[in-house]
Amino acid sequence: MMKKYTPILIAALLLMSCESILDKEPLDQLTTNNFYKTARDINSALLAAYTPMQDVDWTGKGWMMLEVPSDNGQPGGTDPEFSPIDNFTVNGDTPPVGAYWAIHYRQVTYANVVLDKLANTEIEQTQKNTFEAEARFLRAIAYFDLVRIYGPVPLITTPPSYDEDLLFPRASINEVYTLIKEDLGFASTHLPTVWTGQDLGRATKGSAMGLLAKAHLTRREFGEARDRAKAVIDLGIYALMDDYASNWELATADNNKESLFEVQFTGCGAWGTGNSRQAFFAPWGEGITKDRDGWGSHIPTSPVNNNPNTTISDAFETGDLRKDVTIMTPNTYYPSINPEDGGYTYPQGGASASSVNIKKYVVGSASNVCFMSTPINAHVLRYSDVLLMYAEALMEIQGGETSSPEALQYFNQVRERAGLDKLDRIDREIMLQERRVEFAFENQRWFDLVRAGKAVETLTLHGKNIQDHHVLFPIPSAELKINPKLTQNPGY
Amino acid sequence: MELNLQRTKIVQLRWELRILLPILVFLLCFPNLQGQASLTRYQGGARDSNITLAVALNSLAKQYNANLLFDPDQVKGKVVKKASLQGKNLDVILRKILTPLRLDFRKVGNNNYIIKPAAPAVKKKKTSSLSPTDVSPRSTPAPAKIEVTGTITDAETGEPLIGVNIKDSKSGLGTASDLDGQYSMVVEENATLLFSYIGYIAQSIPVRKRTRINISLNSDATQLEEVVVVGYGSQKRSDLTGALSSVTEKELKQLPSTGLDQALQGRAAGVLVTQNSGSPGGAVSIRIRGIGSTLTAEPLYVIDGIPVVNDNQSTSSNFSELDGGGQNPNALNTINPSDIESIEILKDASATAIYGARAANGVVLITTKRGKSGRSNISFESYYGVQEISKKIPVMNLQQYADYYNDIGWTQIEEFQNLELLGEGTDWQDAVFRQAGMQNYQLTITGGSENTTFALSGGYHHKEGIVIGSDFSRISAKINIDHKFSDRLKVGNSLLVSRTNENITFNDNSNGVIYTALLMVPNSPVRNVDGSFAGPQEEITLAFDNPVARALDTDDVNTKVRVLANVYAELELFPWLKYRTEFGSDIVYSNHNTFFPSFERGNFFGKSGVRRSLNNSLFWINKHLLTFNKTIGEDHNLTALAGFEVQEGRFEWLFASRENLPTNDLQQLVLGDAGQQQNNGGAGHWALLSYFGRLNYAFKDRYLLTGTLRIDGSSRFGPNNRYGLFPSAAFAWRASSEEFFKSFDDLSNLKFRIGYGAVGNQEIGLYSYSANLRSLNTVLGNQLITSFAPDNIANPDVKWESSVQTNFGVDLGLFKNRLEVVLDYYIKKADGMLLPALIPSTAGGLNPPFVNIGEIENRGLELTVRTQNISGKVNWRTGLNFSVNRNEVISLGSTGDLIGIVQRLPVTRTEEGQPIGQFYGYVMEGIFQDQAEVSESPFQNDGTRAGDIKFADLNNDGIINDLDQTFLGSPHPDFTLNLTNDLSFKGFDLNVFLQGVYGNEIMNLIRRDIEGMAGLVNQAQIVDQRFRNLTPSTEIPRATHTDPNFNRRISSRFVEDGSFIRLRNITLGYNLPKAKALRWSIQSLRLYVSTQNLATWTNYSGYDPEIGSYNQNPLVNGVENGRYPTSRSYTIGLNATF
Repeated sequence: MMKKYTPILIAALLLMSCESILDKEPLDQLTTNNFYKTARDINSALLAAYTPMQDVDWTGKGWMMLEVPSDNGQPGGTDPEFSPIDNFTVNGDTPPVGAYWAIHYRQVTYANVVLDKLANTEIEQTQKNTFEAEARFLRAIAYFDLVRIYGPVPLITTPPSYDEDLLFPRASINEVYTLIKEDLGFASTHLPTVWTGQDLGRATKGSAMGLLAKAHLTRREFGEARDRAKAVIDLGIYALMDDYASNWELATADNNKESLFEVQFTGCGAWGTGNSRQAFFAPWGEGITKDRDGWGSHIPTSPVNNNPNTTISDAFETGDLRKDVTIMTPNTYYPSINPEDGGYTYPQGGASASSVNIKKYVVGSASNVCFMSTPINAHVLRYSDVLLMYAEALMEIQGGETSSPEALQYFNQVRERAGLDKLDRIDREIMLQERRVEFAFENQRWFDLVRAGKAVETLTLHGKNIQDHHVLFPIPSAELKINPKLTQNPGY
Repeated sequence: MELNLQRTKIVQLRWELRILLPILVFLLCFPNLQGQASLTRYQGGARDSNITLAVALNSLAKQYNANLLFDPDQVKGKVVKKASLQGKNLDVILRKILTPLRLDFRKVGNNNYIIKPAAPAVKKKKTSSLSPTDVSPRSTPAPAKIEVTGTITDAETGEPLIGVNIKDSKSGLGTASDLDGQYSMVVEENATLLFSYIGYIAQSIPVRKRTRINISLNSDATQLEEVVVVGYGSQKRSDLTGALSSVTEKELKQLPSTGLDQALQGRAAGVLVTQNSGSPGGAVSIRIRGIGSTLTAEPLYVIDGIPVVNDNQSTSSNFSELDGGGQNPNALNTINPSDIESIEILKDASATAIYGARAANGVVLITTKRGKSGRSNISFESYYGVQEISKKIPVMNLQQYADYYNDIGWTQIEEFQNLELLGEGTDWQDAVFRQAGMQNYQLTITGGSENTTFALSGGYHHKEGIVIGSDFSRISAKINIDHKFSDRLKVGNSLLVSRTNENITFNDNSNGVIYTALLMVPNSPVRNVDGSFAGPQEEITLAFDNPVARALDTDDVNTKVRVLANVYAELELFPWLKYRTEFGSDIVYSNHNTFFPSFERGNFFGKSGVRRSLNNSLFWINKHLLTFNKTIGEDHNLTALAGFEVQEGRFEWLFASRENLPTNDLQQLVLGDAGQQQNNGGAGHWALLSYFGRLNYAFKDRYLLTGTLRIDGSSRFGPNNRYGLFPSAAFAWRASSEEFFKSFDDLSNLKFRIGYGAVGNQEIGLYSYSANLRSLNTVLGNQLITSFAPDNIANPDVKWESSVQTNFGVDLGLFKNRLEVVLDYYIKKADGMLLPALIPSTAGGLNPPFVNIGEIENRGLELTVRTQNISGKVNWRTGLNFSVNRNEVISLGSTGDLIGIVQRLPVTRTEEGQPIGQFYGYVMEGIFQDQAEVSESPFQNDGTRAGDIKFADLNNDGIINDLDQTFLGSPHPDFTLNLTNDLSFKGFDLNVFLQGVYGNEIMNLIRRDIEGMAGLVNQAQIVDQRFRNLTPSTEIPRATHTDPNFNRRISSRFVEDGSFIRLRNITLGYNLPKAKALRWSIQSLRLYVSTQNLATWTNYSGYDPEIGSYNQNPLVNGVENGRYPTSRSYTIGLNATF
């Protein structure tokens, strides 16, 4: 009789041994299940968190989004994406508003993934701390932009997961800054002072401390801002480049001694690995590059009728060496643009509505320049910023005006490098003006104006129809539609 | 002796084809319990010496490997001595045991015995033993004896019937008809003759002193009750509770088809088969009861027990992605339709539930031919045919084009100035279409001994395409063997091997050969004087290369080798319990090579390139089945099936390409430029682990209950939902078996069915639940470093798309089943359709998780009517099937509308509350007749002028923009109707098959170009009636290169009625009379001529209104994009059996 049941027994055995057959991990795809185990995996995930900054939505169009509303730049023509931002008819449907939000939350997400997965690895503690510090720095830099652009934003510190609610409400500005300061504080402690070799360009102690100084300054926490800026100075590893222009020249621009943090680019690599700023900021159709690259999307501001002297061209003092580095003026010869072809002369009458054009990011058609892509890194934080922040913190502690030698010493370093006379007294207006010309088209002007509470006043003077509520951008409409927990900023 | 042998053969053939299967079900019958009980009761301890007759017969059947047919009622309660079962000759034994029980038997063929009551022995009351052989009349005075002769024929065909049993009801004496259907016997002049023949209605005819009695017998449809294949078993059709359509071998053979899927077209209600491409071996989509998924709507095929998904992506590769589109090759064209015995289409949940997570789109069961014991048969089938395009699209000839060019061209062409000097120019349609041949040969050998049967076949099929440069060939072989080891153990296999070779001409795309042939200008020649291919002319620079050159010069060959193999063993554990195990595999090797030669034609040139792609897949399945069958008491029949199954699939692919080979003669990768080489590869795998059971309970043969349950564990389901449960239940009532209906003579069958069940669709991608990583390029120190970030948000709950179906059916048979009606109404609700969730961008731009959220409902009505209009010498049968399906998307979750894209144009939109995949765009209101009308109308564009199309301002906001788009029509037919008529007279038969589709719309994208008047491409002749200042038009806009008004936008202008009636098939055949054939030592011989798609009545302006879906995409149906048209063909064929 047993014989009869043998097949049934075999079948039963098969049943038991077969369960595992259903575990089929993808064969040609990495998954979260088979990754995030070793230090090498974590490092790879951490490097991914640098990629959102490389994206055109962050360092191309994203930076343009903060230049056109200011009195430094404007769109090259009628541009459905940027004109509403320029003339303050922006709303939640304006495309760059949504793109900027999305790309920053991508960086938050990638950083959160690292922080989440890191906890479950058996990586040695010091190494773990460095990884954590780097991820938190990258998260902080994204939140710092988000909170300055949109105000209170959803504060997300865990990776998105299907089980968790993906819809977060807005946190308070204070809560966001608390996280930024905690993250940057941890990063200041655990990041290495320098990276070398293949790792050159990753966030350092100086990057974190400098950014933290800026966060404090933005929060008007001048004591902390002063201390953090001073700590950077005291690291003793940073100095101004002798020549302001060398920060934008191929040979000297990248990761130089003046750089605390910059977005890394290479020229002719895969899509999204090159600096697209030449494409956006260079004049259109002027043969500056081999690939007709230069769309004139973004040009310096044109004079306005009732107040013609507010353009960026007019902002430079006579003799300021930074002017020719920053803008191109008609009939000027630029030997550093297309040096192989003997340089470039900006045409008579100019190639833009304002007759001047932006020079800072134009390198021409060097051998390692490709379509929409130059190899020059994008500066996020330069040492001159630290010097000015330190001076500003001291000035603010003294009531918004100072003649203290300590403050002037660092402030004047910046002026002297620009070929200008030292000042013996600085105030808020002088500081704002100095920052405007030092950091023109470096994504600082809008933040500086807002931080100084001068945005509405200054831009109204510049002929723009800016209202009080415009100091914050609108929350993207698509986001509001999906996430009922969000509210729109007032005025939109 | 010889005559006897022949008779046996013929009888046996009939047995095999029509009766054997149903009889077997009776035969392997199951000793009935009551019999055993009564045995015990009456015989006390004498069990050893006596057994029930049923047991005895079964045991004899096995011992002698014979088929014994008996009515359980007749043998009930009867016992025989065990000892009497000994003997060498079954006939002798049967005689010995049956006679005392007043039973008799009749032997049909070698092995088939019908047990029946002995002829009433009125005059032999006192005789204790009866033997038909020694009966002699005893009553006196005896009436006069006369010799009666006559011919017995088939009422349908008029053919003589051989081996008909003729019995004198008085004497019990019998004889049989001979080879010519003739008989003669000596009977009393007042005797009554009983003519009986298996499969025919018996007739008794009083002799009344006649000496010649000719008779024709009618076939008995009820007696011939079919057994149909159902999932993991078979069932009498009368016992079915679910909705199932069968397509017989005969129907499959009626028209020559390359693939079995094409053969299904129009054969079953509720089954919409469209050829997505008319290329030889081209893609087909089958929609059973509508579209119930946005991912795939194709059914599961089960070929000899091996499940096969007709996923054209997985078993074949194509480079059409690189070329911008085109249809994928058909994965099912590896199966030779000539090897198929029957196809069953399971439609409702009750029928499909046994296939659980793979059944949501219906199941198609394919059974190949198997051998029968007895005489070996060799059959040869062949046909040869020619095909041609059934219609050309009227585009301009040279003269017309020159006239058009002179009006719109931007430079003057000297030769175009004198139109009357110009000829017709090149007809590019003539250049790319051709008369194409097709041929098919099939040799089948079947036969076997008592213990071993086999079916072997080899086939060759070759079909040229009607577009130059395309053809398809297949070599196939089949080996099916069954062997009985013992009474209780049976083993066997089926093996299908094929190699297909497909020469592809790039089509089904806007830069395909057909499409560009329409747009090629007629002043460009096909070839230069030296015979080389000509290129486009200098004067008219076109973006097109010579389509003839492209079709002929490019080698694009897809070769597939497929091995479908299955072995089984079946063991009878108890008479009522069988165990069966199967191991099957499906192995596909696909090799796709493309070579583009370097060329220079006119102002067109290109460098050579070679691409190779290998796709290999391996699938195996192992099944364990227990089948229980028992009749309890008189009225309760229980059949139960329990099964366990495990299956696993794995595939891998490899791709490589190079360019710039030094010569066009050598085409291997190694010769190409290594600097530009590309390669890629990948692999995937999946598995299913399933438990299932089915219970069929019949009470009094009229109350039928089926319950099915399947549990499927699938590697494709998320870890939280790895196992799915798929239950179904159905109930049927055979009202016609009730006593109160028995008085209605004309009612042969009336059955009501109701079924409900849930099944699933597991074709949701291999790893939809998994959290994958994407690789990124991070720049550090001017180096690119590969980094990894999450790509999507995983949903560990991802599971099958569920489909819940309710079915109501009625089967009606009237007038001895001469009128049969099957009516089904169904509601099929697919819920849990897998769609991407809408997530905020704070989730970091990760791809959204797929969630089971969408809902689609299909409701429909299916009607099948079969009638036998005339029977007798002339036979006429009609079959009709009518299907209505209504599709509605109930919910798309948070996903929003789904867009179907063709030629990079959004063409269809799927929106909640609407049918899936309707055309979407602007509404053409007319043509602006003058500039005043333009300025008075809603704003369209700055460049809008008189002669441009006026689009409707649907939202009345004074401007024509995106918001003015709407649904323009549905690609789904309102109903389909197929009508087939079979006529036969003597040896001739005629089949006429009409296919009708009504109420669907077609989006004709070709007209965007051939009536677009943009650029200088050739145009349809109709644009001659375009709007011009002196000759305004209200139909066709002005010609403008730049099209500032976007006259070519997707609009109602290009939507056409896709209804059609098609003369799908006419076949006229002649069967050599059997008697004659047999004299020539041929079992049967049939010659036929046929034509397919002889005529199509339609308003559609394109080649062919049968468009189908684009690459089986449920969202893109009925979009004309240069589809390879279905051909018209003429075939002549010969089938012979030896």
